[in-house]
Amino acid sequence: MLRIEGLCAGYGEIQVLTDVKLDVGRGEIVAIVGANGAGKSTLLRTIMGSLAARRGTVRFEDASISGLPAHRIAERGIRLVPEGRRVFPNLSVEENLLTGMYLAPRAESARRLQRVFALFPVLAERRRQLASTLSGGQQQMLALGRALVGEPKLLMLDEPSLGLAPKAVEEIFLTLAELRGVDSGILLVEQNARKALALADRGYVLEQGRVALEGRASDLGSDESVINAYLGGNA
Amino acid sequence: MLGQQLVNGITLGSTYALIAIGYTLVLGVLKKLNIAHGELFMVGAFAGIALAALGAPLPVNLAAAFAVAGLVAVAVERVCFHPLRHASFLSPMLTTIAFGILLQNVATQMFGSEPSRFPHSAEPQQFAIGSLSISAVQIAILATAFTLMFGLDLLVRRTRWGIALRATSDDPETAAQHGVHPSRITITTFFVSGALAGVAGVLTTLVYSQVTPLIGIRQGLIGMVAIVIGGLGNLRGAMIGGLALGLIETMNDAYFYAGYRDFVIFSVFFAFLIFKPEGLFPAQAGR
Repeated sequence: MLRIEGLCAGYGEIQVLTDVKLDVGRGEIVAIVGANGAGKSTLLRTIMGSLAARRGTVRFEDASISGLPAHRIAERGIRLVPEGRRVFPNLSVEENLLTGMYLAPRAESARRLQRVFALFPVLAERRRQLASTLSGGQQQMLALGRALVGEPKLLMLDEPSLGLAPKAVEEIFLTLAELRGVDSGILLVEQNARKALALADRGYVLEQGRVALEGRASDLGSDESVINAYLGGNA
Repeated sequence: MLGQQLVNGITLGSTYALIAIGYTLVLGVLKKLNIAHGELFMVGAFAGIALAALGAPLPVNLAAAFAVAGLVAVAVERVCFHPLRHASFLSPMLTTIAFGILLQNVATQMFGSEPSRFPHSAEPQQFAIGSLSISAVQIAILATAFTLMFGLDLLVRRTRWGIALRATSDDPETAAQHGVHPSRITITTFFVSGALAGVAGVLTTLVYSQVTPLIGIRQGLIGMVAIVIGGLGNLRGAMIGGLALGLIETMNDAYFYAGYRDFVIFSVFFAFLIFKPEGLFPAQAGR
């Protein structure tokens, strides 16, 4: 459903991504692993339209979305859970979720809200609280919930486990496993490569802005060079 | 006597609050200052006068001021802000200074530099409540200004537009990633900001009964003082800052000396900047 070819992007003088080719199929979970600064976040921001690509094509459901601004790409059914969560600090939990439903029909609001509250009951308990008062793990749940109420066809997550306690990481990954759908795809960027590859169907290894390796997640997870470089060796 | 001054001060302050709200709205969404904001007050006042001269009643004058000043504010956004959206906050300050001067010149060409007046048919009716005397004009001002303030407060807190506006204020990139159309939020914000200033223009002119093309300069500065007193980036703070300034001005005129009015107001401004720069209601606490 997502097909990227020859993608180049960067900031100012610095080219971050070079000639990236990547696919996400329907119902697939795809992991992108790689060192800090390999260009993983830049890739997601470029797909989302928050950063303009310099070259290459991004196609989603057989239509080009290259060059579209972020709000148009959101209309096509792509959502990004950004790095660092980026919940709206001065909005309540419920208002954060309502922002996620900006494009949804009003009649849908109650049902979608209930769905997220069933997934993360703690958000229901704190629905009137400002998002800035939540813990890191709760903010990550809120950021994920805010994307899910948009009922995306493609959900992209940028380092959802970063800075979270092990228990919260566990909860987020359990939720992602539950989200494995028939129609939708998930594109997951993670520094926790072991967890990401255990969850994903396929994976890509990004090195200095280029795709160094790609393959089935289980193969990548047992690949000697990947283990040494990203899984802390001796695995 | 004090009660009377309170009524007068709140009446005046409610018009200042309408001006201050516009600064806060634009500052919230763009983190940038619209220096031509005072001129939107002036445009609204002249739009109201022009229609009054044709014999239109007050509600029509107010509606015209609302619409015309709102649309001119949208023009300010398209001309002075949108092309420079990636530039530093300084660039639109310069373009809006220029746009403000342009509006002053257009108004001078159309209405002359002599004060223009609202055609008054009769002496406004006075009502007595105990020892207080309140005029029909004051009632109209208070009703209009407070209806607009409560209405806007409700819109910003409860509606989809208001939530998207506040989300954009917090984090425009993330808001856009969830489908919020950035230009639509910016344009509607400018329209509301200009419309309220335009209504304030008509309401103020009702009391002072005259307006010149340069009146926006002082009114714009007063609005800035009000947002500094109330706390930058806080809508209710802007309203309360405006009301406080109206009271300060009225009390000064009544108990001190009217000639020192702006000296007192801007002394308060500097006192806040130096001793309480976060204002009475810092943004984080009071949203």
